[in-house]
Amino acid sequence: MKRLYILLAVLFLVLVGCAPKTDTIRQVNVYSARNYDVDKDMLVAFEAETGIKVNLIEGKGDELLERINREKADSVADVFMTVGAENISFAQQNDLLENLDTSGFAAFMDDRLFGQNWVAITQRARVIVYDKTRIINPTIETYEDLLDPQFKGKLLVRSATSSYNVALLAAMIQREGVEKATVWAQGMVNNFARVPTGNDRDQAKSAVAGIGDYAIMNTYYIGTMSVSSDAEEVAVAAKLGVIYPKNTHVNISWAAIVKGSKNPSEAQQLIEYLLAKPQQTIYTQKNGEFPIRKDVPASDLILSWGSFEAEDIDFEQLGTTMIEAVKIFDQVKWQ
Amino acid sequence: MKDWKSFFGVSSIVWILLILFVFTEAFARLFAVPSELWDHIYNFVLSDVINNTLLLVLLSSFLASMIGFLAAYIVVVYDFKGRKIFSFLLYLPLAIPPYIASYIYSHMLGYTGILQSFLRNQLNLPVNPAWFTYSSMQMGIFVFTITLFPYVYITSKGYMQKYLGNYLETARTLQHGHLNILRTIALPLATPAIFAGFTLIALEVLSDFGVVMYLNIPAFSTAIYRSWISLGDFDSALRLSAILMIFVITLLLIQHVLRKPRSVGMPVRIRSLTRIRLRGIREKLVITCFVLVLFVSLFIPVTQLLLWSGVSYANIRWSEFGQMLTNTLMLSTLVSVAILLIAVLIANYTRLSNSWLAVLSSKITLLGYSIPGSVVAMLVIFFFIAVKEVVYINTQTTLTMLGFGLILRYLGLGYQNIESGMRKVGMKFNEASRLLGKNYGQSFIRVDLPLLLPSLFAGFALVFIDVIKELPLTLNLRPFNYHTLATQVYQYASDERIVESAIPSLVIIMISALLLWQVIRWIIKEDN
Repeated sequence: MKRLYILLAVLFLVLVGCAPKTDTIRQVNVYSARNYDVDKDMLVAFEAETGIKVNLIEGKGDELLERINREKADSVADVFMTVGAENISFAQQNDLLENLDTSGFAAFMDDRLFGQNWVAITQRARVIVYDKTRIINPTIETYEDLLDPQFKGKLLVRSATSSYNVALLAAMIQREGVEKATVWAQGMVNNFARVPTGNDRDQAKSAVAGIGDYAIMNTYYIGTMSVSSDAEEVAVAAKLGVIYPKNTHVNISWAAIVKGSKNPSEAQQLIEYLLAKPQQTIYTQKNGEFPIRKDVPASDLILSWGSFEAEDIDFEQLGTTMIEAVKIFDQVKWQ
Repeated sequence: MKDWKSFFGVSSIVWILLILFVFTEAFARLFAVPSELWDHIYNFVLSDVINNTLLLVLLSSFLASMIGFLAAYIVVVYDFKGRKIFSFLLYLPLAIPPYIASYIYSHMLGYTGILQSFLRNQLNLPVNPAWFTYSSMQMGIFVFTITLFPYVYITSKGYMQKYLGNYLETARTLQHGHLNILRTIALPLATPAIFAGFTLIALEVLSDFGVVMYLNIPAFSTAIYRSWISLGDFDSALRLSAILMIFVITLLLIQHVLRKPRSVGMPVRIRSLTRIRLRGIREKLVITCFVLVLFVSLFIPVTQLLLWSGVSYANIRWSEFGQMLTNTLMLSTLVSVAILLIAVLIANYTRLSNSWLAVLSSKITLLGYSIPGSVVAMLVIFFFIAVKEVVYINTQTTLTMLGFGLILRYLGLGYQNIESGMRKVGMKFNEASRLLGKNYGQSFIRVDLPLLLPSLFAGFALVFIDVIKELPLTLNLRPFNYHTLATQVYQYASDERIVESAIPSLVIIMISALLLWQVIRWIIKEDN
């Protein structure tokens, strides 16, 4: 009997004892959905250069944001970093973001790429790819061209649960309205080569395998595939032709200071560090993303696909059409 | 005696109330006014989700149970070359987390996978990639079947080894045929054991997050996640969880009824089995089947991971690996020990009391085991926020919260093991000890506990194996700079870098296999 109590007491103490201690060294707490090795190396480098300790929690963007929202009363996060502009509006509506000092940003980046309390760190384009050894002169110029009956059974795209697809459709709703977006989604479903399965890389592989002709995917993955550990993936990436459709959907990866941050100056310092030239160069060279700085050229691989015209959307509003996008996907049975 | 009953009663009920308090949040939603989006979910999502979930759960549990039961039956009743090794190896697929198996097989069968590229590049065969296409549902069922069948193998093997002997001898004297014995004696006899394993498999599939997310099967956990994350509708997510929990409770009640002892009493004297020696074509057939099952469930996944480890070795970050390993081991050990302690308390209560409260308590422990970890995570956060209003505690996500969440999530698994162990031991030794003047507690510690050691260890190991691979709770509740092997696997996989996830996956599998190996030795010793 006594022993049981002692055991329970010990257990309790052990669990309680595991709570982290707080201390006074300069530090910055980061909630990041950018779970890439490149980013981790960058944070380590930041620590070494500035002496500011970086504490990191990783997760998916919307999960982390949900968590920040729950912790609102007693916030621990200083910097939030994620992939996809679709949750900026959630963060703003729930008053989760602190104002940034954006005064220097306009000097080197487009003013679409930052707002009062957020700033883009990289960009990715969602493009159409095909096997260039098989299809010599693709005729597709817009996302809408994919709806042509001649492509019945030829289209490859991942599931509607993918946040990339949700953002793509949400942007389309913002540009063209719900009706046109529904027609597009329905037309895509009609031309699917198969029930959506697999991730972005799988779509590219299936295009090369001939399961379909055209696949929608993010440029980011072409970059990472071309430097994959798996030689077969490198071979697939080498065969991919890239089409930038008119109004190419370009989404951003963004960062912000969390409301109630206890280390706001360290947070600002970290964000500025990520926007600096050397880091932007690393993002494009090593992680296959588009730099946000006008004075940093994209990687040679990206440049080899030619130039494009990105859609002009309001990133802060992207989230407001997101639920509509999810609903459309359900209605047209895009699984 | 009465004091002890109330001690266990009170401490169990404290836990049960805690669990209930956490889960009422979800149930309360069923009676609240639905959110705006519920209409949409109800009209376009719900029926697909229910159908898919039922299909996935029933088919995978059925197929896995069939393989598990047949394998156990053959190993128990027949003798053939390699029987001992096979009977041992058949436990091991349990060490492979289903989500890792789904990464492996999807990748292997894909265009760049080892199979197609070998046929294409080495043999120069014209390979049609369409041959290798499959629906995500088929892949899901396949993955759950090959990774979870050992649950039924374990339960039915132990049971048949113990009780089949008596009947088998009689049946043989009466010259019943092989199939006849299987159908009329072994199967009905082992039904409770099969169903116990079946329930575990079904719960595991229902609460799975990794596989259905990766394969994109519209099941409950994906729908809950989507409502919450994509639609930002936490309310509907909880409502869906509550519906899921109703499914689970129904399943558990069915199991409870099926498990009731039959009117024909079990023979007290256990007669050992004389195995029938298989020869010739029959022996070859049995061996071929076992080799095939083990190839698919064990050899292929592990070999593939080894190959990937070879190519990705240089491309992964090693600097945090040691810390990650320590975190994983510490967390899994702490949680497993805590769960055993609580499970022992509750199991004692249900042993001493036959009240409906005790039965209910035992069922409630399983609630956490059956709903997706991400929901448990959210409920835990809610709970801590609620507690904070009364006493000051740290609501920042800490190891305390993570530990609490994991205990809630896996208590049922540990409890089932302890409870079945206690049922086997029964009250008689304790009663005898009390006749000799010890009180209940002393008797429990001195007499029952040593007898329970195998169950305790099995419970520890099974919980450990589950915690070590756990994803959603750890992802959602972990403190700063806290990584485990599983979060590392997930991170690589979600970045579509399956090859890089091989080394942490392999370490998870190796640790689980080592533990299982110990458990298996205990189980085999006990079974014999």
